[in-house]
Amino acid sequence: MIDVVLQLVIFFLFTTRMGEIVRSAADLPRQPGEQDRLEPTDLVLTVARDGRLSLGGVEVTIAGLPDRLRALAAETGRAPLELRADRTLPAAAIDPVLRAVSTAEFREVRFATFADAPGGPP
Amino acid sequence: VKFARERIGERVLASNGLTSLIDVVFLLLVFFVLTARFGDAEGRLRTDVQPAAPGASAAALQPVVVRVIGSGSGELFVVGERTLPNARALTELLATLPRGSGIVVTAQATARVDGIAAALQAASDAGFEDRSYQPDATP
Repeated sequence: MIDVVLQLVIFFLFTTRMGEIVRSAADLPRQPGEQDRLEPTDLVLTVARDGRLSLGGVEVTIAGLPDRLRALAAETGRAPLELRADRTLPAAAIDPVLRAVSTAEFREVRFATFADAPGGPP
Repeated sequence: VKFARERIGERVLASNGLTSLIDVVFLLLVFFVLTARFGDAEGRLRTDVQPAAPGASAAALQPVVVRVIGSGSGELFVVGERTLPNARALTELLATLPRGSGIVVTAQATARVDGIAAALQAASDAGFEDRSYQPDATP
């Protein structure tokens, strides 16, 4: 019994931490997303409410983003990029990010959304 | 700390110590169960990102262009001459338009990500497979 409970504790410790590393918390737009659910991608770019960027959990600057993306593309190929942008950010905050993404010749971006959360735009 | 020991055959168990350990482990388990987020169900909206191309070929079929405008009470959506007050109206309008040449979403600097996602969602719901987001050219 105690063994099982300890295993559960270790499981929760790891899953909680790993989730934070790759998919940093962001208040995503409230939209259901596409009807045919797209698979998550390994390439995750988060734009936090304060404008800070993180790529795969590692903080990056807009200036350094194209080079970082090119390096990742050389390692793993040009997978679709998942953009986790805070819903309250203005376009002025994400347009430079998407221009940098485009500069690195990434074409497909997937806007992450909260599918079930209430409070979306009318 | 006083341990109450009980003999079971040859073995001696420190019962109080084990009880404390189980208590702590259970508290940890409860903490993690309550704080862990297995993730709100997430959706994704696929779009291409295309740089602004002022010299685009005029011969190409013109895509539908949706401009997201920021306003105090939310976002407005402009399609041609029409200004739509919400995403539902946008979806209804887009459903009546030809989808063959795709759709391009652009946004005013003050429009929020919420509005951009709403425009992309409306395009997806209206059946546009070829969707692009075009960031403004000026930094």
